Amino acid sequence: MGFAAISEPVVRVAWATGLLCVAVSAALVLQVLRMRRRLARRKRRAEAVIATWRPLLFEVVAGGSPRLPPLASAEEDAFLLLWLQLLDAIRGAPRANLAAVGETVGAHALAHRRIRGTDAVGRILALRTLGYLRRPDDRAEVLRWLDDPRAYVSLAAARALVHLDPDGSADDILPRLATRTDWPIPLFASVLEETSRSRLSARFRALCGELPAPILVRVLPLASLVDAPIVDEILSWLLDPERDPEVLAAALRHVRGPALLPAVRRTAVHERWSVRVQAAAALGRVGEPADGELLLQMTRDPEWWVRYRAAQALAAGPFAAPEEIVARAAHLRDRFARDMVRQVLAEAHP
Amino acid sequence: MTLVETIQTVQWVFLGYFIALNLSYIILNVVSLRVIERDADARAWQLLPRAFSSLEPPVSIIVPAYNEEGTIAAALRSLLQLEYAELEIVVVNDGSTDGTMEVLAREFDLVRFPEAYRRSVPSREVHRVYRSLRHRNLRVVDKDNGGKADAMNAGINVARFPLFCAVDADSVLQRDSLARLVRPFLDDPTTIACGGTIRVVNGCEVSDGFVEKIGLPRGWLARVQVLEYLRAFLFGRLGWAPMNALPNVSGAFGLFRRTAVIEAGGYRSDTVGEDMELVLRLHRLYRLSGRPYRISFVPDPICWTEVPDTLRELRKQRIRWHRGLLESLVGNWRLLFHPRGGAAGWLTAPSLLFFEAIGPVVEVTGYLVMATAFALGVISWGSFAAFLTAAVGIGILLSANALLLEEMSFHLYERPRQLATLLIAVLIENLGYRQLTAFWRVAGMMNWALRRPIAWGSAPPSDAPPAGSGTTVTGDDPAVAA
Repeated sequence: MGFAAISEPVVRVAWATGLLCVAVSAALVLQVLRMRRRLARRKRRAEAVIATWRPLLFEVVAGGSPRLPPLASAEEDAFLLLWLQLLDAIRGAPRANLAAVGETVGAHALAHRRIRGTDAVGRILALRTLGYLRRPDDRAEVLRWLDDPRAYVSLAAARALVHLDPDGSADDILPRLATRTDWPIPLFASVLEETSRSRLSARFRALCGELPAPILVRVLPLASLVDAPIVDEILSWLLDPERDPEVLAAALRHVRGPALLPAVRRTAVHERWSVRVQAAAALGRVGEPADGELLLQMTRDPEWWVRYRAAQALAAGPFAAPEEIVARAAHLRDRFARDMVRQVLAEAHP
Repeated sequence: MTLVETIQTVQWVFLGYFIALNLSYIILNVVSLRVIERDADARAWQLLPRAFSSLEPPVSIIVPAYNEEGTIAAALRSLLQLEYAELEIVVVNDGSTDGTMEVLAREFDLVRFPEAYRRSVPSREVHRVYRSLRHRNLRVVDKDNGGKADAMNAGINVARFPLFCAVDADSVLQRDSLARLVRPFLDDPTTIACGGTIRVVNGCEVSDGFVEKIGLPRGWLARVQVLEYLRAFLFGRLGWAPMNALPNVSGAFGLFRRTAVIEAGGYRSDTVGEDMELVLRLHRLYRLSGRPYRISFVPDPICWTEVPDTLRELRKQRIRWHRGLLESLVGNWRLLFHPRGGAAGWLTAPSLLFFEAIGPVVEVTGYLVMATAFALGVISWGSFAAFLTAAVGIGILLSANALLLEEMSFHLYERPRQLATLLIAVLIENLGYRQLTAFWRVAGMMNWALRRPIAWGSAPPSDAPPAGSGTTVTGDDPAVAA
């Protein structure tokens, strides 16, 4: 027995593995150091840009017209970031003044250069710049990026398009919103808030007639941005008890007008609780005093959520004073209904 | 078989295992590098103005608390300052024996609330529900002691919103943590859970419940854990997420779809690794039934947590973690190599079993066999050193890569001195710390095998109100009762 017990190939593999790992680790640490140096340089440059440009841009916002220094190519990104941050924060005439500064320093040419580059950050900056500069001839370029497969590039393009063309942008964005399932509706809805409401409403009505149920459910939250009569028209068409329960529940969620009350009442006895719960909530929003009895019945529903929403509707709507609700609930034989009414009244009137 | 032949066989087994283990880590590293690159791209989102939309889903934050009188008020104040359109906070006092309940009542003006309690998932007796007069969106559930999982279940039962967020009482969040964590639910409606990166708060300056200045801990034990967390989250979780095979969503801060968790039966209170168990169970249920789902991961550092800074506490934690891992695997063994298991069944579960669960046993056995063989003169000093170099070298490489990933992504430890400290921590981690934790993990395995009791809180408090004296109805769901 002796040292020969360990086969040599294994030992050689072990040595090679260990030493290779240490060497690669050293290379990675060097790479980290290199990245740190580059980052520090970039940071210093950004700080210098902010120190120079921030007072000047503030002066412009305040209505002044300071003498602007030339923009060095190494300063472009930091300048655009600062300029865009300020533009996001202000409205009205100061925004126009600031946009004019962008034109003066050559932001338009810069944006066109950056939009054709390869990095996403540059492209986002470019799209946002084109949006704020509001030159109609940039519309086609911005529209091209609305179809980018990356949702954040599309979102930047959508925002730029709304700035460029508040009236017409809904026509381009809305149909895509129905087909691009990767677009987060809440984020794009916040963009669409800035478009022309009447144009958006008309386009939305046309779109709803064309969409299959699952996509309709997805885009229906946009109804909150649409004119009330058009929403009522779309919802009255959707609130057919024979429809898919998911569509019914989604439609009930957006009921805001009393014109839909008969349709809502019909859904209060739907076999699916996901529909009943939305019916209860909708009755709370648009119900009449006569609906109090129906809601009281719904507080006896087997599903907790239906009882909860019905009790909430009772407490918030024009159905009865809190004391009267308590008195009527006390006569209920169902203890779950009684407890739910007590809970909701405690929530509403601590 | 002679002793020499035995040792030769053992060494080939170890080498094979070693190669397979590290190959899996390297693959995860490569995936993580790609994800970080893509994420750097996706961080272009941050260049877009953040619009709080009323269409974002409301979130119930559930904070289980057991004997947290010193931290609970500050923790809740910071949660109340989170930037999010609509949220409620449900604190579950899990039968604390200290003054947690009194602190809550005093600091937040609690009044009794007649909650119509529903039992969607099992939990111990709930005595009372309170609401705050100062903050309409804050409720407190006071219940019998039943452990963290049981407390979470009680919180789920009173949660009002479609998403719930599990938060440890000592977690430190960022103001926009919730907004970032909810993004995958907006991007993909099939998302049922999402976790984020957890970082070490020891050594950081915390003001009003938020991290003001990022620093490194004073002690080396905690410093090494900074590296461990970097590695665990920057390539552990990040590597698994694109395959929809995330093994865990940390209980310190994770977002779940309430209906999915209720359907799965809620948290299991008979395990100490309730967060991992739940995630593996969700994988199992959704994979095996063929339903579309996604469990996502947000690489942004959105939650900061205190790590143990004494050997005793660290030992207890590692034993608990390892036992939790084994319990999670045993409870979900059907996921392992199931024909419909997908990446979770064919990659995650086997990796957890063969590398994470059994790994420490192989590692400790390896150390013992090599040391014994060296002591007996069966192997030479050179051979011994070669194996040690290989084992330590791979560890150093993985830690160095974690530092690179951190540099490429978030660059939180930006001072040169911090980098130097972390580089020293890389050496300490691989020359002592890792071996020590391997021994503790083996102890965790023994603990699991012997079914020794571990709990975050043991007996119910002696001054707990009698069962049923509360204002709540704790009966069965009427649908069932009828």
